[in-house]
Amino acid sequence: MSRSEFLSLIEKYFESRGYVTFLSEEYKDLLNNFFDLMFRGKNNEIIAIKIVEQKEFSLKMKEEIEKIIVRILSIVSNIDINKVYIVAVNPRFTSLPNIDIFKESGIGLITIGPNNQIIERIPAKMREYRNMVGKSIEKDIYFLVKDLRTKVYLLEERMSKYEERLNNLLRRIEFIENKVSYISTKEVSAISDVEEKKKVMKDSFDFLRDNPWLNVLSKRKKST
Amino acid sequence: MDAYKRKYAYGEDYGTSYFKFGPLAEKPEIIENRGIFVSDGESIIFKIFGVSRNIIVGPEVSLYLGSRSDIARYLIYPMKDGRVERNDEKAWKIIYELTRYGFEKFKPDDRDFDGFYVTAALSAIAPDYMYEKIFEIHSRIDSELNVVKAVTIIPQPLAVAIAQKTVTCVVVESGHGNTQITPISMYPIRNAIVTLNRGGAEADAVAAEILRDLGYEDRAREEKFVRTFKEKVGLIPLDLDEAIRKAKEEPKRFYVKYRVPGTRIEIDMGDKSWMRFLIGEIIFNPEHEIFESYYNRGMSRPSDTVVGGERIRGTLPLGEAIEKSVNYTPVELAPSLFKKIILSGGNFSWQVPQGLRDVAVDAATKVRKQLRDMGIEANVELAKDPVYSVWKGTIVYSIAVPDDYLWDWKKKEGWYKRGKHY
Repeated sequence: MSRSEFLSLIEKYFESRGYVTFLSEEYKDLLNNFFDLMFRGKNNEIIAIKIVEQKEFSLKMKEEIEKIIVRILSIVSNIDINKVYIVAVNPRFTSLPNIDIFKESGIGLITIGPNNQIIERIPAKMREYRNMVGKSIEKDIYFLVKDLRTKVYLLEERMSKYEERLNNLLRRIEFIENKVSYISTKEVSAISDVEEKKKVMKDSFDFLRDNPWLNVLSKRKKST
Repeated sequence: MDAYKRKYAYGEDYGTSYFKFGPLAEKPEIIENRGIFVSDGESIIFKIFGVSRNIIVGPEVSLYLGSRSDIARYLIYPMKDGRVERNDEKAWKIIYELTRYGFEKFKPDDRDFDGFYVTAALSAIAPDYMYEKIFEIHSRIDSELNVVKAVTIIPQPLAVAIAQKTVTCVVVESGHGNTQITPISMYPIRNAIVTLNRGGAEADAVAAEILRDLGYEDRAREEKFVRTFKEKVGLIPLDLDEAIRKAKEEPKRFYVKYRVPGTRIEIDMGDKSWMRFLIGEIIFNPEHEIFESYYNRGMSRPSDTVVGGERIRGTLPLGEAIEKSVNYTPVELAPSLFKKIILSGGNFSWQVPQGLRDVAVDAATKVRKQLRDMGIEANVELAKDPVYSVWKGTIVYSIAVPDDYLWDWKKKEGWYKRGKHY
């Protein structure tokens, strides 16, 4: 059987158990470079599959599987995958690592026999993870907040410019008001000038009236 | 000639904060004693407003305050405690512009106008170079505008005495930085002038310390805030010890909560309201023992001055300083001088709230008590019109002094005239 046929077989196996094939940008690299298949369950749990075909030498296959287990453990510490299965195709008993390794690592083992029967030999352990949907929402919120912050900043910049323009306008208005007031004062002064002049001549100002200093100062003269 | 001088008399009061000027009228024009240097052609704003001059004075200064971020370098207050430094070119330029501003405003179109008779008033302790500079400024303006027929300079205390219509008196002029005591008997008795290096600034300093004691350290550093706080809550005690005792016994009566108008900022003096009396007392008696703790914690003690070779303590109580000044005059003059002591200047404007009149007094009552405690019965009064009295005195001087009384550097009196001196 070809590799693609194995893949198809495994797909059908998991689909019959209520899983759907899972493709995501986030996991694209993993699928391209390591895992062979990924599925998503009814509770949004994610399952990753790694297929290992029987090698000529059992020891070689065993070593390969052990390396794969180490690699898987490294991957799942950084990325959310709930279950991982290694699918061994037509394995000899001696080609498989000790069952304890599977149990300790939580990685499941599925075998495909010579008659294409698929048997789950060791179930995979469910790993705790953040809800994919929640993670997505978190990411959306993050970008939304970032976007809002930028908009607020731009609004503040615009407000600041409006404030400056307003202050300039207020200053110009004050300047014009002062000018108008000055011109009005001059006009009023001109009109009341005649009255003022009359007052000046008549000593109508209080500080001049009956002031003894007028007499004292008028007698100031150069000493001889 | 009398009619011409009466018509074209012009007065100038060069105060530290304000320049008051104008021909004979009910009151003078007033502008702030400051100016701003603006750059030629640097800003489009200046072009729009049609500014071609280098220096702006008068009410327009405020329009330019926002035009530069480095405003402190270009906004100049030329006078400090009534003095302009001899070599401060920028300051003298401002004084020139202020003086010219007044003449441009009031130059009449009358056909008979041939220039004003100008009397300018300076601080009693203005040095001779200030007189020279003021004369030079006026002669220069006359060459440009033909507005100064003659100019003279008198000390501000003399102008106060003239406005008060009192020929023999002692004028006590107290401003922000200093207090001058000038006996006058038809002339200012110059060798009896006593200057104390204290004024409103000392009351500000105590007010700032009080704010710190109340826990308002940040407010204590704001000059304007301290000044308004001082003016609103400060009181002059008739007797400080008695006032403090009463204030502590009846805290509710003396309680004050100062609210900054138009804001929600409040200073609650609580059970420390008795401190209000410290603000007024320091002007009259900075030697009271209660101030020692303030000096110890860093508040400046007023520095000493020298009069006729004698050292005068900066903390000398005001009553004693007045007595000292009178003692420098001929002995037969003393009783007449004590009969009329005139207090002038913003530092003597203190309110006496209703309900506190048994302990808080005005400045005249305080000085009278100080002198009485020394065995001197004196008649003390506040200048009737403290804002305008100096300017009014200059107008009277312009009208009254004969045209042929020429400037004499020994007497520091007389007209500096066009055709004779410039």
